[in-house]
Amino acid sequence: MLDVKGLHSFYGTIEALHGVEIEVNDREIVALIGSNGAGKTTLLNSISGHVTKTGSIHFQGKDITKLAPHKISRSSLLQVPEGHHVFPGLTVEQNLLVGTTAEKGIRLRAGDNRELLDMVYEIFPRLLERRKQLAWSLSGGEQQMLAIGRALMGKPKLLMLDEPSMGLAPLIIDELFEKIVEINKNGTPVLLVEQNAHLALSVSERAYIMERGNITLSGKSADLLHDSRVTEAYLGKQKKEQEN
Amino acid sequence: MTALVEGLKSIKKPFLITILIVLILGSGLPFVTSSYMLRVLNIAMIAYLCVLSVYVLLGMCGQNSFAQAGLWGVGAYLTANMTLKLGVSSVPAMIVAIAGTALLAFILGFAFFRLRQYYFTFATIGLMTILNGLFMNWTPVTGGALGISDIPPFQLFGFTADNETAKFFIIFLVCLIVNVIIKVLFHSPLGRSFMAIRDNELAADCLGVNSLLTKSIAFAISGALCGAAGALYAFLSGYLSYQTFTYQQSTMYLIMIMLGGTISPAGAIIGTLIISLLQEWVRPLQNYMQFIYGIGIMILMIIQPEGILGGGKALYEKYIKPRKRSPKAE
Repeated sequence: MLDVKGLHSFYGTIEALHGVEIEVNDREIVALIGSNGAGKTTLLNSISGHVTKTGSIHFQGKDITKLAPHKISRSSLLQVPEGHHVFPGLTVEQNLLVGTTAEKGIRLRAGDNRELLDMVYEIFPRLLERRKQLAWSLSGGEQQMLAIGRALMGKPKLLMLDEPSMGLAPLIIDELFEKIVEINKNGTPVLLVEQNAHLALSVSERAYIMERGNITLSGKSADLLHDSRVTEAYLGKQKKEQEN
Repeated sequence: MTALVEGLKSIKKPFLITILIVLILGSGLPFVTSSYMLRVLNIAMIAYLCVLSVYVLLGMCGQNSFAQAGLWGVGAYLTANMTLKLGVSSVPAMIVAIAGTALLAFILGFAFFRLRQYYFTFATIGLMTILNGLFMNWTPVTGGALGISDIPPFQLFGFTADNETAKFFIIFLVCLIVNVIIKVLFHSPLGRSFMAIRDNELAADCLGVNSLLTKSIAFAISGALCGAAGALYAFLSGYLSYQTFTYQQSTMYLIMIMLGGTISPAGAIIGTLIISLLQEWVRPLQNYMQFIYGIGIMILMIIQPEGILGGGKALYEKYIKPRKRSPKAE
């Protein structure tokens, strides 16, 4: 479905990614794990067209390497950027409706989006309660739900989530990840960037570990959870607990 | 679907009623005011169209332009040239003025919006300077320092709007039509894309909003409004001078919308009316006007950065809305 080969990304003259290769298949949740500055967000931003790069990115067999960001979004490859990027001055429902641009482009007439809205409200009932509220008044967790729901309005064929757990309380994170699994069960593959390695590995089928702009390790999440190299670097605390 | 239709209806009914009330009240105005006051109102309504152009660009799309008076001038000079030199009748001349100004804004927008945020604003300052220079020096087209005079008034089907009252009705009608268009735009996917860009351009990009094209369209729409205002001004005044279409005038539009509030077109109405009438009422103090504006703006930005409308809304939500709700809750 998504096939990234030999990806080098640049900020000005500085090379941030050094030949990254990843792929995402149908119906999968794939996790991308790494510490701060490993290049996870750069990788997502490169795929979605926001960073200068060389290499090749194919999505559903189509070469999207050179497309502008909005064209990449319109080929149903949708990114939910890091942080809670909602439109604060728009209501929850207006926020969701902007999400339909990804599928339909710039239009003057509103189509019938009721079914899509209902689908999103079914996954996130809290958004239905707050549909007429301005987005700035939502809590952090609700804003993240809104950002994900808004991407769903564009009927994504692949959803890329950048640190959805960032800045949220543990209980909210659990709820959010249940929803992500639910969205995936409904048929949308997910590329998930996370710092919380344990959480990411427990919901995903496969995972890539990134370090300093390279993929250093990849495999089945269940195996990686018990791989000594992973446990040492990213699940350190749990390993110590096991030793004790 | 039904909920959406209901939502649209609830928006439309009060709006239509408002438009109707304004139409009735407005139609009565020429019969109760002096012709001098009517002139002031006519000029205020033309300014209102330009302030609305700022509303679309700044209030909806978050892009600040200092070139609106220049675009207004483009519309005016286009109209003058069409009617005087080519003998085109009023309505087609006005359409050409609107389309021409919109096209100019769209093309320039496409170039300017490769720059982000305040770089765009700087580019518009350059544009304003160039346009004013053209108005002053391109004598064959703009009449140079002497300007263009004897522009015929608005004509349609043998009817000539040569008195102040007739001119009032034409400008008033255009203002009403423009208001309806803005309302439709506000609730359209295009308008939502504008506001998405205003609130968070990165997120808008990620959702497939083509920000370069969308911002250029916003600039084109604001250009069209300025073009319409320019055409009406040419018909109203009959005389154009480069001294009218200045950088100061662009700034004045910004002051008007900041004073009224950028959150809705109502802010544009409030701001335009207050400043236009203020200019008349305190005419004896004219020498101090710039000083009063300067101090006034600073105080406003500190006390109420969202303008009169924003302040009013905050008061409403604090005092009146809770009272309205409480009986229901009980």
